[in-house]
Amino acid sequence: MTSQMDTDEQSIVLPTSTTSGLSLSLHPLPILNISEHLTRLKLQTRSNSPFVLGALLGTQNGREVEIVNTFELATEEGRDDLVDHDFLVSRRDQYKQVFPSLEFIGWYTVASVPTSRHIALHEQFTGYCSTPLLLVLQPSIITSSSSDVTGQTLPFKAYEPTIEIRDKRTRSVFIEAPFKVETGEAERIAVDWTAKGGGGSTSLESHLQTQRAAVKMLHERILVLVQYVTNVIAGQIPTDHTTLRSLSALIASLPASENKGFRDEFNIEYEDVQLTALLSSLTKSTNILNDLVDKHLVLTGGSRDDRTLNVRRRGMGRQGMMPGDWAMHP
Amino acid sequence: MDCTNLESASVTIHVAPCHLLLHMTSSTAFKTFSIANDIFEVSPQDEIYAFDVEANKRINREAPWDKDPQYFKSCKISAVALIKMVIHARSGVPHEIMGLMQGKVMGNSLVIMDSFALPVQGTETRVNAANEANEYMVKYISESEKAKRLENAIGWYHSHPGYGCWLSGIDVDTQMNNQQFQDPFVAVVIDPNRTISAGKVDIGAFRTYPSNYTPPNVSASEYQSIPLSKIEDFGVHANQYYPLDVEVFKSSLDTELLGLLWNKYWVNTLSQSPLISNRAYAVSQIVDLHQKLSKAQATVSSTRAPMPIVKGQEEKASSVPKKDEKKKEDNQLAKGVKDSIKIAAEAQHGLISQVLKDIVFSSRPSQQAGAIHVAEMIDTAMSVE
Repeated sequence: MTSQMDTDEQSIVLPTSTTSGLSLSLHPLPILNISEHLTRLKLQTRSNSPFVLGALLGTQNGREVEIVNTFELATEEGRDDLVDHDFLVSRRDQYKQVFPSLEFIGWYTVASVPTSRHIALHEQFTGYCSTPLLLVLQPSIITSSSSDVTGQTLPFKAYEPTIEIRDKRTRSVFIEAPFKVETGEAERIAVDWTAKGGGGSTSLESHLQTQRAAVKMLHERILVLVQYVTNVIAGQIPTDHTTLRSLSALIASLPASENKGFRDEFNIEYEDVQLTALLSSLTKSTNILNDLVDKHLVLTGGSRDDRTLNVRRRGMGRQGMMPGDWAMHP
Repeated sequence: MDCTNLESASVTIHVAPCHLLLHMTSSTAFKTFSIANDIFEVSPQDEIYAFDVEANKRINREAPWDKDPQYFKSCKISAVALIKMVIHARSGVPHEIMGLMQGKVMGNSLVIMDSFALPVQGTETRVNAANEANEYMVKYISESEKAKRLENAIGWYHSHPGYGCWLSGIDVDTQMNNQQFQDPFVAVVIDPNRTISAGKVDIGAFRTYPSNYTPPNVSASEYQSIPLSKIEDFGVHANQYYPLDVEVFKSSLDTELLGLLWNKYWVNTLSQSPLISNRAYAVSQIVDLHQKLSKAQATVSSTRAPMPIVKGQEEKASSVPKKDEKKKEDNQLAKGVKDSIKIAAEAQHGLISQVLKDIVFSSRPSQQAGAIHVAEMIDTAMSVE
């Protein structure tokens, strides 16, 4: 009986041939939240793999799900498998007050692979959301098998619950859902800033560096694609027509914008910015001119008596500065 | 313009994730060993996340900040707290939002571990918006223990969308109140609009002086551009508080994850454009600059140049009026110049990204104008700053 149960256990996750139809986006904030939660619990419980449990907040539009924020959850006193529902409800309502657009869409934990224990926990969340998602952080060592940094992925996996019917019995299982990383602009800047350690100036150089880093990534990705196509032509790799089709569609869509409307708006924006630069230079020159005139007055206006200096300056000021002219020239 | 400089500088950026990678290779063996044998290792970087109840009680009893109004010198903010605050601030534009922060005291520094938003919107006329959120605050903090968040409230934050990081009159009153009854407490201000247009987080942390204390020396603070409508409020109270140095810290796991994240969100770096997302703010800045320049126009005729000093002349030869000028007060026009340079520089940065994208995605192989275009742009940008 037990052996049958063991083999029945198999995997709670369906094999990768079945993929979820969700299009899932994950923001960097949940990733860092979960990481902080884990670090904190590790230090408190002085163990390498504490039990971490939390809720996911986000938006769900049909098949498009976005995970935006998270908060920690508690379990009942002493029991690791019962979720403290009061706490969940109270926290969720509090977050609803501040971020009304976010809803409870799932839960997260730290594990290398979901097990039946997670199914049991999962059942407790179905009351709050029709299909709660599971996000798992895999703490196993991030293997550095490839020297190519760009190939590494985040140690997170997302799962969607579903029912599997096999041998006339149903059981709940998880299907892995692929996700991509999305970010808002403020979030991106904040994440970028903390990644660089905070501080630092907004010089032209640092801005160019960031741009260069991003373009470099794009270049590397393109190289990978070129490598693939070369190999296909050389016959070393079986052709995958879907990939080739999407590649040719991509190339056909370049150049991205020869649309007249786009060009016009681009040029207008370009001119606006250059105009700002011109205005700024003019203001700077005016200031320098003003300083120059002031100093000239000091040199030529005599020095001893302050009062005479003032009178003469006022007189010369009218002539020198011609403030009236400024008002006349729009 | 200096290409070799850029090359080497960007190699540093690329090396950083590689460096992380090498570090991991050499220590994976150790990690395997330690996880397999459940040896609990804490890297020194992560020590800050541990909450020592006894140490906390002790320092709260001693309260060294009561004796020295300038006791706290710096404010350390954790990565998650910072990101949450920035996102909250941005989501609330154009309103001012506020929230609380939880953390602890470590030496001369206030350490902020986490932050949470409050469901109130601060406006200039609401003196104690915090009162309304009392129930929310109390509930959140008391329940935090269940979630294993043991730190106490250590400060509050609010946003100044578009007008810089400083404390207004009402903010100063609120903070003085906080410091009287809830010390240790810190006030943090975030400007989400400037954050986006400058490309870096605009944040400040402040402590107020008690009302009977005058600071020994008023050092000239770094100039920041403040809209005309707020400038009086800024000036009147500027001496009642002082800024703390802000540092951001993150755990070792955070660092690894951030390195991996870059692999995914480099796309957003290219696709987002501050020129477009911050249009309203850019326009308001130019309008404000126009008003400031109009004011400057009136006062410019009465500017005087500082008296030239002959080298070796005695300091006592300087007359009384010179002492005032020594404070290096820029006249109105000079301040206008600084503002205009800032506006133009930020706009240039945004435009550079747009031009780069245009070249990468829109130029045909025959067009060579691309490279020339970029060189022109960089020249303009450098001449502006």
